[in-house]
Parts: sequence; C-alpha cells; structure tokens
Amino acid sequence: MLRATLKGLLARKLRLALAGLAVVLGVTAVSAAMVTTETIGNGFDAIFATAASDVDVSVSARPNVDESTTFAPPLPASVLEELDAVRDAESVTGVVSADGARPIGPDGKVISVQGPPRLGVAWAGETGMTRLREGRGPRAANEVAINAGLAEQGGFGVGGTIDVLTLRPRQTFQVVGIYGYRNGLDTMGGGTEVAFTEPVAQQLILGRTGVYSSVTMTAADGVSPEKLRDQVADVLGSSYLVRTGDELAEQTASEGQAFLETVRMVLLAFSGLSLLIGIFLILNTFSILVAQRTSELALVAALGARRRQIVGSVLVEAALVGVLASAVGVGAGIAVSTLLKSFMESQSGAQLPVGLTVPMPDLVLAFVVGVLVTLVAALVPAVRASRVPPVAAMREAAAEQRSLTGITVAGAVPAALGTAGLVAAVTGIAGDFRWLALGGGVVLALLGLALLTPVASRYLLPAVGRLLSWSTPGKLGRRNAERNPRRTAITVATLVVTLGLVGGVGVVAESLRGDVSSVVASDLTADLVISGDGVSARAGGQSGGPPTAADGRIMPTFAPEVVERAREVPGVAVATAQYVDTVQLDGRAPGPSPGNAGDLSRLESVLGLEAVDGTLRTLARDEVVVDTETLADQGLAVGDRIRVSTQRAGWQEYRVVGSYEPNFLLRGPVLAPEVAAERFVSPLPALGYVELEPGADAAAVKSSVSELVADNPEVTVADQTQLASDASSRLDIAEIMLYVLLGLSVVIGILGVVNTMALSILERTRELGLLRAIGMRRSHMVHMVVAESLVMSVFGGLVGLAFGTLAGAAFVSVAGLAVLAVPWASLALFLGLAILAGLVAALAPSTRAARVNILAAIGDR
Amino acid sequence: MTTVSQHTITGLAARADGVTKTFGTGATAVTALNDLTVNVQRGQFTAIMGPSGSGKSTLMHCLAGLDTVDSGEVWIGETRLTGLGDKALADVRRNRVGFIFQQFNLLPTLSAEENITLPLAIASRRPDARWFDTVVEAVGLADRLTHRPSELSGGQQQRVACARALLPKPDVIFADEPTGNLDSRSGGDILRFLRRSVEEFNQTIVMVTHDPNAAAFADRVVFLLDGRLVHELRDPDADDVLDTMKALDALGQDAEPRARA
Ligand SMILES: Nc1ncnc2c1ncn2[C@@H]1O[C@H](COP(=O)(O)OP(=O)(O)OP(=O)(O)O)[C@@H](O)[C@H]1O
Ligand SMILES: [Mg+2]
Repeated sequence: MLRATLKGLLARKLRLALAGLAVVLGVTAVSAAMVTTETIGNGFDAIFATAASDVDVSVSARPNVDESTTFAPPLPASVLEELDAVRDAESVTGVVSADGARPIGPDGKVISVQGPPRLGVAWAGETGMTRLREGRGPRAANEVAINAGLAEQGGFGVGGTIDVLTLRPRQTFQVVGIYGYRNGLDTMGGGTEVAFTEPVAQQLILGRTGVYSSVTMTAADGVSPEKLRDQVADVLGSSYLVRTGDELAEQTASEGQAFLETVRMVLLAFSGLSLLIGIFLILNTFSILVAQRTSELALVAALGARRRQIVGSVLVEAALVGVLASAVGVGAGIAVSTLLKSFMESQSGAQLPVGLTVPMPDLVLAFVVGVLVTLVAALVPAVRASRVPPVAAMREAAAEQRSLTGITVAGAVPAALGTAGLVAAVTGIAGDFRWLALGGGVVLALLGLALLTPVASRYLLPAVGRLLSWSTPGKLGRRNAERNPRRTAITVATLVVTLGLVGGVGVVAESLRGDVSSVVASDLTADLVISGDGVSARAGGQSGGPPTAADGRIMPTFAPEVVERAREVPGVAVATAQYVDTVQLDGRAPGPSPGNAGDLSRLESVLGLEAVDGTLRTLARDEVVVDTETLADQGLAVGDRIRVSTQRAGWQEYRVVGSYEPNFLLRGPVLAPEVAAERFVSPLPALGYVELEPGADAAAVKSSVSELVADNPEVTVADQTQLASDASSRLDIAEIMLYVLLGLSVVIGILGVVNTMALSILERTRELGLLRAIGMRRSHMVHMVVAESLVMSVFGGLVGLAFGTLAGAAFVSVAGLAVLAVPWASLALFLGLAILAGLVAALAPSTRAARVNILAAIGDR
Repeated sequence: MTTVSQHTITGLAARADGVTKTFGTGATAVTALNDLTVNVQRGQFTAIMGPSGSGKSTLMHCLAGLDTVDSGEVWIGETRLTGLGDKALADVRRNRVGFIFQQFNLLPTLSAEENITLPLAIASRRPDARWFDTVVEAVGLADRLTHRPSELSGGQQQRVACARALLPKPDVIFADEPTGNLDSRSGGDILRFLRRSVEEFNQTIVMVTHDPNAAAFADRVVFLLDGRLVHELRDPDADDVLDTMKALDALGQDAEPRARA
C-alpha cells in the first residue's frame, strides 16, 4: 500500500504542489512573524544593554505624572554634591539627555523619525558609547556635534550649520563634530542626537542651567552595582529613582519595545489570519484532491483494500506533503523576515546590531502546526471518501452532488442568533450589554454567513453570473462556478471575511470622520488655528479635549509672541494661545488628565465656551477653571481647592474659580499662561486661535499670520475645514494600517482562488478537451475560466462588503455617532479589488485551459 | 439489408492526400499513418475498419482537424486544413465538422438541449427552430431535452452527441466507435439514425467500427493495416466485412512483429 501511495504521489506532482503551497503560505506567515519580532526584540536589548554597560547606578527624579510619559523632572546640581559623599562611588557624572531637539533638514522641514527619540544632550567627550568620527566636540554656545545618523539623514557636515527647535524657538548652530557609537553604529535605535555644550543643553533641553536629566555613577573596585544602588538610595531617600545599569537597560529597552509591541501585534494578527486562511486552503485542496481520486480509491476498495488502508494511504500522502511544505514554509519565513528586517531598518533609519535571531522552539511549533493542520485537513475528506460505496464512486459526478440541508441548518442557527444580537444592540434592548451584543452578534453572524454561503451561492451565483456571462463561454464559466457550492464557498471564504472587515472598517471610519468634522465645526468658532504637525490631528483625543503628547514626545510648539503679533494684523478680532500638557489630579478619582493653560477671557470666545459656574476671565497664578465633568468626577465644586501635579513642578494647590462644558478642544483644568511657562513640559503654546473681524479678508489674514510662523517648519496655520480634516486624519493611519494588513490576507485569498481554480481545471481536463474538440477557440477557453473566477470573486466580494457595511452601520448606531456615512467610492474600489483578484486568480488556470492538448485530454483514462 | 444507391455528387467532403503521421522518435517511433490517401464522397456513409492500432483513430483525428500530419495534406471540402492556425482550426471544428467519441461526449453542467446547441452557441448563432426540431425528433429525445447527462442512459447520451454533431449541418460527421460502449439495441438506434441522416439530410459520415454489422450500414468500407489503406468494399454486407477482416487478420499476424518492433 505504501509503495502504491508513493507512486501515486509522484504521478500527481502538480496537484500536490498546489496542496503544498497552501501549507507553505500558512507556515511562512507564522514563522516570519516569530523570527521578525524575536530579532527586533534582541536588537533592542543589545542596543540598550551596551548603552548602559558603563553605568553601575543611575539616579533620576520620579515623574510627577504617573502616566507613560518619558518626561522626568530635572535633577538640581545639589544632588551631585550629595552623591559625592557616597563612599563606594568611583565616579559621579551629571548627564543631560532628553527628547526634544528637533533638527530642521535642508528642505526646511523638521527631520522626522518614527518611534525613537530626537535627543538633545550635553557633550561629555568620548565617554561611554560616544566615538567621534570627524571634527571635535562643541566648545562655544553656538557649536554642536551631531550623530552620524542625523548627519546622513539631513546631509549635514562639519563646518556647516544646523537649525534646531528645542524648548526655545528655532536657533542656528555650527556643526563642529560628527560622532558614532562604540558598537560601530550610526544611531542608537534610529534616533537623532544633537550634542550642545553643557550649559546650552541644560537651558534648551531641560529648561534651565545647573540641572541634569540624570546622574550616572560607577562603583569602586570590588563593589557590586546593587550595593552601590542601596547606598545611594540610603543617601537620597525615596524621592528619586535609583537603578543599576542593568535595570536601566531593561527599562529603556522595554520603553523602546513599546513600539515593537505594535509591530508584534500586527505581525501576529497577520500570521493568525493567514494561518486560518491557510487551514481553509489546505482543507479545500485536500477535499478536491480526494474527490478527484474517489473513483481510484473505490477501485482499490473493490480490489479488497480495507477502509483503514484507504484512509491510511491518504494520510501518508498528507504527512509527506505536510512535512515537506512546512519545512519549506519555515525556510521561507526566515527569508521573509530577512527582507522585513532590512525593510524596517531602511524605513526607520535604525540598524540592529544583531543578525537574524531564529527562535528554534517557536519554529518547531510552527512546523508541527503545519504538519498537523495538513493531516487533519486530509483526514476529513479521506474518511468521507472511504465511506462512499465503490459502485457509486466509479460513476461520474458522484462526488459532486451532496445535500446542503445539514450545513444550511447548522448555519441558520448562528446567523439567527447573530442577527438577534445585532438587532438588540441597535434598538437598545440590550442596554448596558449593547457592545457585547454587537460583538457577539457580528461573530455569530459571520460564522452563520460562512456556513450559509453554499446555499447563498446557489441563488446568488446565477444572478451575479448573469451580469457577467453575456456569451456562451461566460455562461459555461458561470455554470462551473455553480457546480459545487461547498467548494465555491470555501474558495470565496477569504474574500468574504477580508472584504467584510474592510467594508465594516470603511463605514465606521467614514462615519467617525463625519462625526469629527461636525463636532469641530460646532465647537470651534475661531477662523484660523495655528498648530504643529500632528497636534490638531490628536485633538479630541480618546474622550475629546485638547491634544496631548500621548506618546511622551515633545509636541511642536511656537513662540507666544506669534499670537501677540497676530493681534496687530489688520482684520484680526481675537488671537490667543493654548498651552497643553498632561497633569495629575487629586480628589475622589485621582489620575492623569489633559491640562491646559491660556487666557480664558479670549479662549471663551474662540472655542465657544459656556461658563457654567463663576466667570471665565483672565486667571491669577493660583486659580484654575475646570470642566464640569472633571469636577463631578473629583467630587468638587467651584470655590473648592484642587491639587494638580504638573510634569515639571509637581503638586500645587489651586482655587477653582469657574467651570465650563467640556468641548472637543478643551477638557480638564485650565491654568494661567504664566503657570504653563514654568510648570508644563514645554513653556511654549501648542495651539493658537485667530478670530476675524466681520468682513475681513480671510485669505489675506491667513497669509499674514502664516508669515509670523514662517521660520518654524513644525507649525502651520489652518482654517476650520483643514482642522477638521486634520483631526479626522488620525483615523486614516489606523485605517490604512488595517487595510495593509487585510490587503496581505487578500493576497493569500487570491492564491486560494488560484489554487482552487487550478485544481478544478485539472479535474476537468477531459471536459476542456471536449470543448476544444467541438470548436472552442483558445480565447473562448480563457474567457470561460476568467468568467468562472470573476463570478466567484464578485460573489465573495459582494457578500463580504454587504455584510461589512451592515455590521459597520450597526457599530455606528451603537456608538451613537452623529452620522452614518457609507463610503461608496471606497466600497466600489474594494469591489474593484475583488474583481482584480478574480482576474489575477484566473491567469494561470486560463492559460492552462487554453493550452490543453485535445487528444490527450479526451484520451485521459 | 437494403442497399442504397450511391448519390451522384461530384466533389469531396473530406480528403487525406499522402498523409504520414509518426508518434515518438528513434527506436520507439510508431508510424500510425503511412503515406495514406483516402477520399470521402459527399453524402456518403463511410466506415473505417482495421485491427487495433492500425491508425483508424489517428486518421479521423487528422481529418477532423484535431491533430496535425507530418506530411501530406488534409482537406475538408474546399478548405485545406494543413497549415491552418489554431483559431481557424477551432472554427472548422465548430462549423464544418461534427465529432462523436466513443464516450464522454457531453458537458455535465449543461442540459441535453444546451449540449446539442453548444457549438452554435459558442459562435453566438441561434439554431434554426425547425431544423432543431427535426434533429431532436430524429434522435428521439424530445422528452429528454431538459435532462442533465448524468440523468441519461449511455445510449441516450450518444444520441445527444449525434444530434449535436448534426445540428450545425457540418461537411462531415466523424464518429469513432460511437456504439462501442452500447448494447446492441442502443447501438442499432445510433446506426439507424446515422443512416437516416445520410439518406434524408444528405449528411456525409465517416465512422470507425470493429463491428461488421455496424459496418454493413455504410455505403463503403475502407480497411487499414499498419497505417495504409489495404482494401475497400462498396455496399457491403456483414459477411463480406467479416471475411475481409479475417483475411486482414492473417496478414496482420505476419506483419505484427515488425510493426510493433
Ligand atoms: N499519442 C500517441 N503517442 C504515441 N503513439 C500513439 C499515439 N496515438 C496513437 N499512437 C500509436 O499509433 C498507432 C495507431 O493508433 P490508433 O489510435 O490510430 O489505432 P486505432 O486503429 O484507432 O486502434 P483501436 O482500434 O485500438 O482504437 C498505434 O500503434 C498507437 O500505439
Ligand atoms: Mg481507435
């Protein structure tokens, strides 16, 4: 039996190659995700471990706001003196290094890095990791050295100049040196670095001279870092963070890896999806393969083989395919991650100091999963085949007609439950459980849809097909697509699921955009908004309110004089600025909150604020105005005192003198501008508002105001519509990422259709020969196969998009968005993509159909 | 058995002229057709006979434009097939030639009626309704038109194939052992239908068969041996055919070792 199986294997090389392809795809995706995340993770660890290798103990101040902000308040120089007293310390060094030095490139735009920080540091010579490549360190206040990564990115050289934005507005410096790192790299994890003289760095990066961002220490001979750490902690008390070099490296690496988490999530989601699709593919492929061999298996059975032997022979075949294909898949996964690594390195400008890391246990797991999935996928159709009575199997077309009643009933139940859940969520019957009802409803409905697709194909395929099959070859193709509803359903399942997701996301995103625009239009009465790139895009945050530096990065800001001068521009009625930051509140519900500062008498009019209690006037230094929701949350009222911790200055007490309705752009405590200049991370405003006099020339005013910020490439002047589109653009990125992810699974879906089409074509070789014999031209054959593929992909696309649109609409309704906007253009585009998928999938099979050798095909068996 | 007087028609429906066809190369080469010349008269029912492997099917395939020849020429009516491109050959097969195979003649997804009209439909032509009815009546399938092939018996399937071959009024219908898979009654139905097409509709038919009784339906029987035309009978009866076959078998026995070498 085994020899017969092996012989059979070789005789069906092509078919098995196609089955193997499905396994290869699934395993490739999973192992690529594993290798890539492992490699990046190792790379980060290596970078930060070497960076901290010369440090035994590091001291820094505790953050004043306990959110995942990277801002640590500076340490006064007095801490250094205290530390000199520590007995076992060999050296004590004050370090100035913090995010927020934004270099301006030769094109006049700020040099952008995605993820890693843009550090401003004090030059400390070639200590630690730093190694000069060219020139020298900065000695005068107007001199800087920069890292080689930045020099390359911005085309800067020794002897030239560089403009940098810091806590202060733009300044120009002489580049006197370029440095790299001890491990030979140009950057640390892709970040840019500008090294100033110490006083300049303190002033521009930390806010004032005589302070340090942290202090690093080395231990005397024979003293362990842990011992030194404990000594330091004893001296300084609990108000400082004291960590060993290893702890610091771990901490920094884990901060750096926050962004890696996203990569890992995306890759794993992708590989999970592709594995799922891979399982579909394998199942489909093997059921076709076994169906094709039903008569052969029946012959073997008629010759006296037992059922177990028949199933066994199919399983041996599957095992061989599974092992071979999984091995290829793991190899391909490693190859793909090599590509991914270099792609990410080129995208982020960061080089990883490690080669590819191959996590063996994970890959063995991927391999085993591949083999097991193949075996299970082959077992089901094999058992089914072994149950077919020999006589029936030897008759033509016996395998094709199976009743759909069972699967339809099985699908109707979850479909009905899912629909009920959706209805309950939308109509509000579900009450507090509406999100649960919505989520459960979507999942159940999708499951039901998958099981109902075969039946649906029976009624919908002829309808779709009629549109596409205007000629006889087209009609033949349509009939072929209708031939086996189960197979068609599995083939289009990927398209249904991905286009369902895409359609749903499209509807939700479009509706959110409409919602944001209408809110901006109603909440903002200013005509012009001055803001940095991405600042207005973050407005409205998760729960509304001002933009916050959610990722802990310094936000683009501009000089406060800009609004003062804007007031003098003819046609301007009101101009004012808004300072933003994250603060910590104390009260019934202590926690972080958006924090603001500004001249309320002016903000009131440009933001259309309504005083609920007290008045909205220019505040004194110890006064605060808080929105009604925050007041209610903290159990406070106007007239009470509230404790607020700012990032730079820590806890302070303020008197609540007024309250306002929270707004799309304003939420949380509002302080006096002088307070912001002292206590917020950035002393500069992030948003400016300009209101015009009636009848003023809006375009002229806009260009005059733009002039005022012309030297600051981070900041632009936008009108209301721009702001609305900016604010909604933050959805774009999430949307695009999702689309890319789904796009990849569409690619796999296409391969699935190709696979099924190719196998079906092989299965029908004799028919193809007959068609050619009675006079079909090659072009007719191509037309026929393309029609079959198109009918299937359009069917899958329509079902998926219809489902997605309905699910999206349900989401919009449950979320209570103002508008339900259906992005018809995008939906049409997605349908177009499905059509394209159908065309691509038909390419190889139609060529094969056109080339079929008539006599060989007819003589087949 | 009644003999039918030969139609007096000038011109040929199909013609093979000095045709040679070799399969394989070197030691394994087999010459299936060896400088063979044969003319098919219009309106005639020609049977081709010969021992297995003598080249009957190969000859039919070459005449029908399903295969190409190594040398010599093949004509259908006034059209020379030798040298035609794939597209033109497909058009010839669709419009000017009908083909009936021993089995598997029909597309399983189409009904009997759709199978019958398929060659016309491919060219977006509608069948003449009266002619369609005549053909369907002749094969006796009027009440089976909506059935799928899987719902028809083997004999009925062959009759559908006959109707399909006849409907476009081709220059020639080729049938390769059309009754080979049928019992004698169903086979007789098919043969009577073919005979009737020749007599009533003046259709030209070429049929390969191993059965002397089937051959007796023809106006003319040609005998092949090792790719050559070795004998010919006019208005044969079954006994004549049987005798000739026996004679050829004796000849073939001598030739066999050489031909198979
Ligand atoms: N595709 C092919 N490749 C190789 N040899 C072939 C091929 N087709 C036919 N032959 C050989 O050509 C010769 C003639 O074959 P052909 O099929 O025409 O015989 P036949 O007279 O139809 O026989 P039968 O009565 O068995 O159908 C045979 O020797 C056969 O082996
Ligand atoms: Mg033959």
